[in-house]
Amino acid sequence: MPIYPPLDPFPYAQDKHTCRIHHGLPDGLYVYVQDLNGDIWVAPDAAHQHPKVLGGAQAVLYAGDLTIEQGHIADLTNLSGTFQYDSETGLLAVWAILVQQGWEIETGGVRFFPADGGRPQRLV
Amino acid sequence: MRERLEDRFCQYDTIILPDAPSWIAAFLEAPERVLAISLDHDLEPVHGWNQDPGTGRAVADFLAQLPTDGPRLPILIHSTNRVAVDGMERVLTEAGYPVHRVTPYGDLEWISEVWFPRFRKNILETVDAASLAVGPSGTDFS
Repeated sequence: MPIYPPLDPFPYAQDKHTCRIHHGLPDGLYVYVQDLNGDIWVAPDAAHQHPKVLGGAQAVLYAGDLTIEQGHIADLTNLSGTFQYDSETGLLAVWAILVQQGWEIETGGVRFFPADGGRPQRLV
Repeated sequence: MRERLEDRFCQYDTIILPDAPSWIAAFLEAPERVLAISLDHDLEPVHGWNQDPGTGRAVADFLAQLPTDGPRLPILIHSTNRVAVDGMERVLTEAGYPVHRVTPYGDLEWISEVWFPRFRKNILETVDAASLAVGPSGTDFS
């Protein structure tokens, strides 16, 4: 898979709430990145948060955001201004990892936003 | 609002307009490109501009009379004017729009804490508005 550096190269400190995604996270909106080992890290949603999930201007495999509701993932996207991934395959790979980890993901909840500003699509 | 949207939804245009007539004129230029809408009610007069900015209710009334042949765009209302919001919500709901509301509080923290998550969800839900001819770009809101 291609590796992408953040478009904002400033070496931000890692957000203190960053953690690997795990069951038991509080409900809410999170931003996520997939690191070069394939692990998925999350941090609570905030302004310009993607470069702070890992910090240090680290490159990642994929990025987006997701919502946890009542212990399951209600939606999963490729939305990230910092990384701007335009790969449906990459999003499906993240989805597959989360399913493998035992996450229940809402049917129709995986939404892909094309980089050209086209209409968002449901992938799964 | 602009900062949050342009960071997460950078592939779309964010258009913020300060008065109802400008909003309606912009909407009529390319309604098929509108992906999501968030409306305030009490609009402040534009500095150096003598015309009445109107209110969010004027935009709601305009949207309510538009014809439709399918699901409507979800609309978010953000205003502390509860009575006015009730009226906007009623007219939009009766016209078939899914309507959500958030009440501003504090300084600007309400934007990240309640407005952005709800508006993002509205944008995600436009996938379900099958009849929308969403064009190459467009996240318009006032």
